[in-house]
Amino acid sequence: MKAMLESPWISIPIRVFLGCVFIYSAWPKILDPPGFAEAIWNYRIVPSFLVDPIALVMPWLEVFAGFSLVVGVLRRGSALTIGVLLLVFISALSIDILRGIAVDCGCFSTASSQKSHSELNLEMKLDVLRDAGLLLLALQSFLTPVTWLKSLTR
Amino acid sequence: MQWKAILSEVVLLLFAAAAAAIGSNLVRPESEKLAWIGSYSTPRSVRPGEIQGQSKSHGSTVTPAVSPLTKRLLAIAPAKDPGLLFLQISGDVVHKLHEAGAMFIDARRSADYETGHIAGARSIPVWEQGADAGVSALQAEGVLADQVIVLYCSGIRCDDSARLAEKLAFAGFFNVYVYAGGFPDWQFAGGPVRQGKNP
Repeated sequence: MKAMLESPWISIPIRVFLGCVFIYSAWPKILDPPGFAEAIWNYRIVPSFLVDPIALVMPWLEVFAGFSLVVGVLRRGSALTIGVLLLVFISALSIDILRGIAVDCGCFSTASSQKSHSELNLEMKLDVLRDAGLLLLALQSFLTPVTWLKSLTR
Repeated sequence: MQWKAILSEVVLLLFAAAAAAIGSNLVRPESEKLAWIGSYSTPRSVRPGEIQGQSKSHGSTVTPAVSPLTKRLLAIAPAKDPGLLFLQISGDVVHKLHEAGAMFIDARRSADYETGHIAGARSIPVWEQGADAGVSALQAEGVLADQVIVLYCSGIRCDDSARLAEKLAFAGFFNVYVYAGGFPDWQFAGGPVRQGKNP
C-alpha cells in the first residue's frame, strides 16, 4: 500500500491536480481583491484589520504553493502550506456551520450567490468534505517527497 | 524529517506571496485596490449616544431646516428614529421614493453597477477604495444631512448597504434607508434600470 502511494504514477498526478486546483481557485481572488475581502469578512471570524492583508496575500500564496507543487520545487514547503490553508478553510467553514451562519464559500469565486440559507448551509458542508479530501492529497504530497527527475527515472 | 528546511520553504513562499500582493496592489486600478489594513465593522442599528462624533454632525443642531423635497420624501418613507443608523424599507415605498426624487445609492461593486443599476442611482462601492471619497463627495456637493437617501445592494443577504449606511451616519446623514430586496427585487418588480458608469 505504502509503495503504491509513493509510486510516481500516483504521486505526480496528485501533486499536479492539487497544484492546479489551488492555482485555479486563486485566480478570481487575484483579479478581485475587494470581492475576496468581502467573502472573508462575511465569515465573521477574522478581525477587521486582518481582512485586507489576508485578501491580498492568500491568493498569491495559493498560486505560488500550487505552482511549486506542479513543477516540483519547494515541494514539501508548498504541500505543508496547502495543507495548513486547507485546515484553515475547513475550520472557518465548520465554525460558521456550527454558528448557523451561511456564507458563500469564496473558494473558487468572489461573486456572491443569491442562494437561500439552507442551500448555502448544504454547500458549506460539501465544501468541508471536498477540503478534507484535498487535505489527504496534500498529506500524500507532503509525505512522499519525490522529485520529477527521480520519479521519471525510477 | 527536515523541519528547518521545510519551514524555510514555507517562509520563502510567504515572502514571495507578500511581495506579489504588494506589487499587484500598487499597480491595480482604483476599483480593485485594497487598503493595506482593513477597517471594517459589523453594521448595526445604534442609538444616538452610541455614534461617535454624532453630536458634532447634527446632535447639537436644535431643529435643522428641512427642505421641501425632504419633507415630501419623509411623508412617503416610514418614520425613522434619527438615532438609528438606517431603516429597512421594501416594496411600494421604495418605488414611491424613487418617483418622488429620493437619492438612491448603489453600494455594490462598480462592475455590478455598470452592468445594471436603478435609474438615477449613483455609485459608492463600499468594498472599493474610493468609498470614503464617495461619501465625502456627497458632503462637498452640499447634500444636506437630512436628505433622504436610499441604499441598496444585491438583496437580503447582502450587507453592503448597511456598511455604507454606517459610513453615511458617521458623515452626519441621518435619513438613510436601506432597500432590503436590493437590485434583484427592483429588477423583478420591473423598476427602471440603467447601464454604464452614469446614473
